[in-house]
Amino acid sequence: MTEIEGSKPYENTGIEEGDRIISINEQEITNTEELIQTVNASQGKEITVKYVQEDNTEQVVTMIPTKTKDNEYKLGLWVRDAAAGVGTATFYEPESGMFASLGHGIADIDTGDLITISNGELVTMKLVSITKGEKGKPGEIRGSIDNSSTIGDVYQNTAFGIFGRVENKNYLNMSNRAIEVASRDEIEIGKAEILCEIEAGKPKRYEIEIQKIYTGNNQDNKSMQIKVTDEELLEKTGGIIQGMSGAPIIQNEKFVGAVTHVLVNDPTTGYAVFGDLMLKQMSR
Amino acid sequence: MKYVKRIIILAILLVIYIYVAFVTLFPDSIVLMQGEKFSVFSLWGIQLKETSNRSTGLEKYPLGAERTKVVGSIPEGENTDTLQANTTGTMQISFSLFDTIPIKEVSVSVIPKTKVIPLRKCNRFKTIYEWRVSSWYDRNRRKQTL
Repeated sequence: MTEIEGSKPYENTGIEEGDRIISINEQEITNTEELIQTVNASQGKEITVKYVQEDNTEQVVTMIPTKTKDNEYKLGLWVRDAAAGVGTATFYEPESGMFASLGHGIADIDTGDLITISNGELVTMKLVSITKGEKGKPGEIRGSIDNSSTIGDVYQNTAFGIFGRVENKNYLNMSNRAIEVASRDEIEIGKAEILCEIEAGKPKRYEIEIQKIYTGNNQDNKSMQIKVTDEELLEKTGGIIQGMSGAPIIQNEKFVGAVTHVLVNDPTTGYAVFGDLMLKQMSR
Repeated sequence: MKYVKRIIILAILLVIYIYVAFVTLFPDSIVLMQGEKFSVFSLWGIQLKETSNRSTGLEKYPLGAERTKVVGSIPEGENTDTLQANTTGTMQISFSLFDTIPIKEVSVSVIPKTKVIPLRKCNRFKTIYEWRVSSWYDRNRRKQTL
C-alpha cells in the first residue's frame, strides 16, 4: 500500500483507526479502488474528506495528498475492504430463508477483532484438494471458485457465525429434511456425527464424540469439546481441518451445533458452538 | 479500632463493587428458545420480576392472555431465579433492590423452537468490510510477523 516518507497527509487531521471514509470532494467512496482513483485524480490539490467516526459522528477535514516515488498521490492511510475464506455452511432455516455458517466470525487478520461488514456473499466452491492435518500443523480444504454461483448474501458477521439470506437454494445441495435444534439439556456426552464434504460432491456423515459440554457458556463459541473418531475421516484429514468450520453436528437426529476450532497440537480434537446460540444470534 | 474501621469500609466497598458488577455484567437483552429454562444467579435483596409487555412484532403469536409466561420462580434459600419461556414473544423483566429501587431493565425475546436443514457443502465466503481506516501499527506489526 502507501509508502510515504516522513509525515503523512492524514496525520493531525483527526482521522483515526476505525473511522469510515464516506466521500471525497462530495463524491461517494465505497471501496478501496474508488479511494485510490479519487485521491490520484486530485494531482496533489487539497481534497475534502468526509468520514464517520465510530460513534457515528460525521466529520469533514481537508488534506493535501503527497506524491510518492511511483508518481502516485497518497494520503498515507492504511485501508482495506474485503476478505474471503472457505468454510462450511451450517444450516438453512426454511421458514425465514436464512442461512447460518462458520460457527465463528471473520476476524481482522491484524487485530483479531471481528470485522464490521457492509455486505458479502456466499458462493459455491469446487473442492480441489485436502491437506491432512498433523500435530502443530492444521490441515486445510482447498477449493476453486471457477464457474462459481452465488448462493446468497451475507448480512451479519458475529462471534457465533455469519448469517445471511439464501437467494438460490438449489446450490446448497441439501436434503429436504428439517430437524429440531437441540436445547442444551438435550445434548449428551458421547457419540455424535458431523456432516461435511471431504470428497468433491460426496458430503456425508462422520462419527465424532462430544467430550465436554460447557452448558452455561453464552460468552463465546467454545461450547463443546469434540473429538473426531471416524477412521475414514482421520485417514483423509487427520481430524478437524481448516474449511470444516461450520460443519453441522447431529446427535439423536437433532442439530446440536457446529465445528468452530481445532486444537493445533491435537488436530483430532476441537471445539463446537451450540446450535441454539447460532439460532438466537440469527434472530437478533 | 482504626483497623476495624478500615476493614468495615473495605467490606462495604467490596459489597458495593459486587452489586455494581452484577448489574453491569448482566446483559441488556436475552434471547431464549421456546421452552428453554434460563437460570439467573441473583444476590441478596435483588429481586427479579416481569415489568411490562412490549410489542413483539410476532403477529402470529399474539400477546395478551396466551402471552409468554415468564416464570420468575424464586426458590426459598437459593440465589438462583429460573426463567422459563413457554410461548414466543418479547417482554421486559427488571431487577430491583428490595422490590422498591429499580436497578436494571432487561429485554427478553422468546423465539419459536424452529427446525433447520443441516448443510454440508464447503463454500466460499466473500465479505466486504464496512470500510474503515486501519492503523499503521497493525500494518507494521503484520509486516514484522510475515
